Amino acid sequence: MIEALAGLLVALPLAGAALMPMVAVLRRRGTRWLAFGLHLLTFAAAAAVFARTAATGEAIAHRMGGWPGPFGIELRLDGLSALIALLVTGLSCFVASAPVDASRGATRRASPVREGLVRGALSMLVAGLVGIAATRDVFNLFVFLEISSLAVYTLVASGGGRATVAAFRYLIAGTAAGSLYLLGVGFLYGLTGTLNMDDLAARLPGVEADAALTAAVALIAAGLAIKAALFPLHGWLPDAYVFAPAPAAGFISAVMAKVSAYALLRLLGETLRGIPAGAMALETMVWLGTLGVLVGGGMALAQRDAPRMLAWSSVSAMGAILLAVGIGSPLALAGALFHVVAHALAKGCLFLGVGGLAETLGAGDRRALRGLGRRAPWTAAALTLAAFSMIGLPPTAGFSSKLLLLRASLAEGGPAGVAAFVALLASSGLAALYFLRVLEGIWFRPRPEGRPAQRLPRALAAPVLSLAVLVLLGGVFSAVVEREFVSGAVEAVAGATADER
Amino acid sequence: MNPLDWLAIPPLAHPGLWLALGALVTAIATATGVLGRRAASAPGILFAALAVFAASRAPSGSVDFRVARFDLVWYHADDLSVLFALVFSIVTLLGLLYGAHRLGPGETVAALLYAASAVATVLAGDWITFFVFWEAMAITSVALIWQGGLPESRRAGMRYLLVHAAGGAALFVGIALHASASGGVLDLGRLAATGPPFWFLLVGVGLNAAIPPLHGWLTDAYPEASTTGAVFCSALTTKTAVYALLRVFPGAEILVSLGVAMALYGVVFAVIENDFRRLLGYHIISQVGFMVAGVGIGTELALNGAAAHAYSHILYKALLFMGAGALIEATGRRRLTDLGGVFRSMPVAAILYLVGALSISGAPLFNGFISKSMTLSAAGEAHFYFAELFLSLAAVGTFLSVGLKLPWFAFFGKDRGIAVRPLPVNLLAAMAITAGLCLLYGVRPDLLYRMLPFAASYDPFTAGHLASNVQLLVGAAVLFALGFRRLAPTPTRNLDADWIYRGRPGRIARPLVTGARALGPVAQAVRSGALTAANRAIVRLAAPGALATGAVRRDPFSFRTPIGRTVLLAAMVVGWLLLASRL
Repeated sequence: MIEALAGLLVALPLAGAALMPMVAVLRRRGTRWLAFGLHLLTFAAAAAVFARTAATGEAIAHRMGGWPGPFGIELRLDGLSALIALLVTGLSCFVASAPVDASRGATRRASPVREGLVRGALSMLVAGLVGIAATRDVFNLFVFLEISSLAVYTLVASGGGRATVAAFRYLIAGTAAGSLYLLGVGFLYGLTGTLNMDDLAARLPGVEADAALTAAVALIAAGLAIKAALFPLHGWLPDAYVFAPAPAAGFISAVMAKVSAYALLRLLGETLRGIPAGAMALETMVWLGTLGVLVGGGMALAQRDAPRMLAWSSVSAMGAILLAVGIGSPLALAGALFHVVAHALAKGCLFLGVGGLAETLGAGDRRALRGLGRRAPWTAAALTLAAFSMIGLPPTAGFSSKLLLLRASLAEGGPAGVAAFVALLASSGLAALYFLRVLEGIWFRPRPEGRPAQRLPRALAAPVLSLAVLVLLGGVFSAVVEREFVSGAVEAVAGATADER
Repeated sequence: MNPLDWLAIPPLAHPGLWLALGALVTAIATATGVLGRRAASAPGILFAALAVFAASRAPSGSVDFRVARFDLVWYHADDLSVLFALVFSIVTLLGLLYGAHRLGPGETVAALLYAASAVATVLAGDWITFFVFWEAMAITSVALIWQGGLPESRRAGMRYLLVHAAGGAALFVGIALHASASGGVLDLGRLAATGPPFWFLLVGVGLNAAIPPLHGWLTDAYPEASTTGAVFCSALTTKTAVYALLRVFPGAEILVSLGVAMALYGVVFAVIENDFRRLLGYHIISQVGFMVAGVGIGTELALNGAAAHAYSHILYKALLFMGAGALIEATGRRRLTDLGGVFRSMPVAAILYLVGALSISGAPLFNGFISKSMTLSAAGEAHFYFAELFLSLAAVGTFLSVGLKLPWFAFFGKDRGIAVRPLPVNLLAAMAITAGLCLLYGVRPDLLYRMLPFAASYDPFTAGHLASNVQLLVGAAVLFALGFRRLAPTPTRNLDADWIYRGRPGRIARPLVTGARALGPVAQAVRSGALTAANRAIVRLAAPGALATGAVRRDPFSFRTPIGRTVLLAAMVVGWLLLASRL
């Protein structure tokens, strides 16, 4: 029974993607609530799967079409996959609850076609991302990667104007990434004759480590690194995040790159572990992640535009997550996954809030946020909390994840570990600088003359506030988060690697 | 169950909780208008009283809270930490009472949070909790100094913040090194190993203990705080550091010489100082020197002496700063050269001040005597004869400046006919209670001794102790009578370690700073120009025809990375992986 849920997790949003445009054209009014209900249902399924894996410590597998073992495609949710699925489906509910054009003024309602396309694309994105998390087949992973990419291009482009260009740039980068990945998978298939991850892991030790294998690993790593916005392959990220319309941007910025980071962890950290090229790729990832942490933080500091600043801070955060994936010790993985959760919540909150405000004002300049504290104290407080989490101040979730990351990099030692430790510390300092600068404007400066009053639409304010509450709860009850959510996921990876050794 | 017994259960037994709650209630009550500005300190006084009560009954033991993978021990009570928590709570209560007539909501909240952080720091059982509250203490104390309200207090507060940020960084590095050296053990405890962790931790803690040359922030900032703010500052920051030294560095011999140097250094500068609150600030350094030396000697008697001296010092130093504040409130002047002959107009405050002055000088039957003589005896017993000699010298200097010079030139001396405003009742009441405590512990030392962490018995009232102390005091008085013309204050500012940014090097450095500022835009132009040029070159290479438009020139950092570059870089990453793993 519960095995069927694993299949349902992908099928449900995929059906939603087909359904949404039709419903939107036929029945205007109910679309928003139907979409919300569908996302909520998917979330409930993910929660059920997660609860089961957490309780039993065993994975839930679903063989598509009833084909057995290495031949058919297997969807399998262990602690790690279930955590990612839970995060993706949970955050999608927040975004789906808002009207499509929530930040563009109450007067303008989306046309039925637009409504249907945007809602359908969001469903499709969820289907793709959950699929990436669930699948055990490397080619199937490529398919889900493309499904999620096509959906996300549509979502970004739905911003119109400059967003179209951003979406096109994203499309080029994403296609290049997909091609590299597919090439790598092709090599692997030629070498081993299998696409199933477990089968690959079993057969690879018997394969001679020649140039073909090295090329396969390098191509897969580079392809996924583009999607995960590993510095210096992050070029698509700032524009895509900044120009996507506010409700969608909240979702994209929260989970998009992180699911690719998950794929990197699955493939490099698990399946391809033990191959010299894989170890090399992980080591390179530590260094590039360290650089990304610093460059992202520095560029965020240099921005005038608030959403763009947030986008660069995402580059920094992805660097932190990927460097921890590269280190790969259980402690580092716990830090990386905790950071995935903490950063998704906080960044979603910030992008919904700041992005929504920037769109309603028509200006992203961070000075436009001045005086928000007096006008909308609750929104401002929520943004402050999320910013604290980004800096890593207690009592927010970001504090605990930063602490784990710092400790993991210190425990790793060696030049890479020390560099990562210093970079993580410095990134907290940089984040303090650029966020406190905005917060000072929000709380202590009057609204500049001649600027329109800021107003966050209520449909966006509700998710912003609830996400901020989650950020706070994640900090106060970080022991619970660590025990109930993260440690099971870490064991899923560490267990697999231990078996291999 | 008696409701008051609930205070003995750890979450409620934490006095810091009550102080923080007091801050919260004050903030809410004044922000919503329930409480007028004039009564802003009323809830604070109530909650501080609860904190004193909680601290006096705090059960020993520890309670932890799991954050991520760390067991954060936020309540760790033993004799040592409870002693400090108790005296911090007492001085907070007295300070709030002292300032009740003029404390606004901002200053009350800052003071309560500052005290709460200090209490939480001494009750912390592991390094992470300790560090978090240690930093909170730095931030809240700056907030308190800023409430002084003058431009100079803002500037001094900013310098104070920068210095403490540097100290915090040293401490953090020390903690990180210590944690990695000890395999992740983060319990606060005696540090056995020397080497880098030892030195980083010593610098981090020593900065807060104002060990020269890391003491400049104290005499710079404390005189610029408000009259009430200085009372809190004098009590909390340096004594928290003394607590940390007692906990972590007992018996570290380097502390003996550092402490002796501090004791003398503070006294010498105090003797020539004119601003009387800065004079008292130098005496904090000098008195903390006694405690640091005690920690360094490291015998049970010496450690008891250091802890007892911290306890006594907080009380009499608060009293002295209260007296100095009373002088400022009554006359509006803060330099000795501007004062004289006000004894008749404010006799009560002057006499209460003298109680504090006799305490700090170690006169028998006052509380300074029962703790200072303990440290001196411990130095003798442990064969640190030079330390004993120099600390005795420092004691002479203390009596000379605080006990004789300051009161003589402020209260007596030449009458300048200064108009004196009457002092409010709550101010005098707070001073009277503090003076009463100084006398109480001076007459009944056992009340203090039984709270001390070690079981070293000591009797201060032996003939030998009494005789040597009285001799020292009389000697100092003779010295003053002979040379008091030379000791007369002069209206100059004495350059101390702050000469680095005030004196000649400052004059040399200033053109450099100006030059560097002028170079800034040039560097910026060069940098953004180079960036733009590089950007264009890559665009030309990777995506001909897609050259960025004018946006790049307006805001050099808003540039878009050409997407072709991303693909090019991806190819380079693949190439690198191929090459590196084949080599």
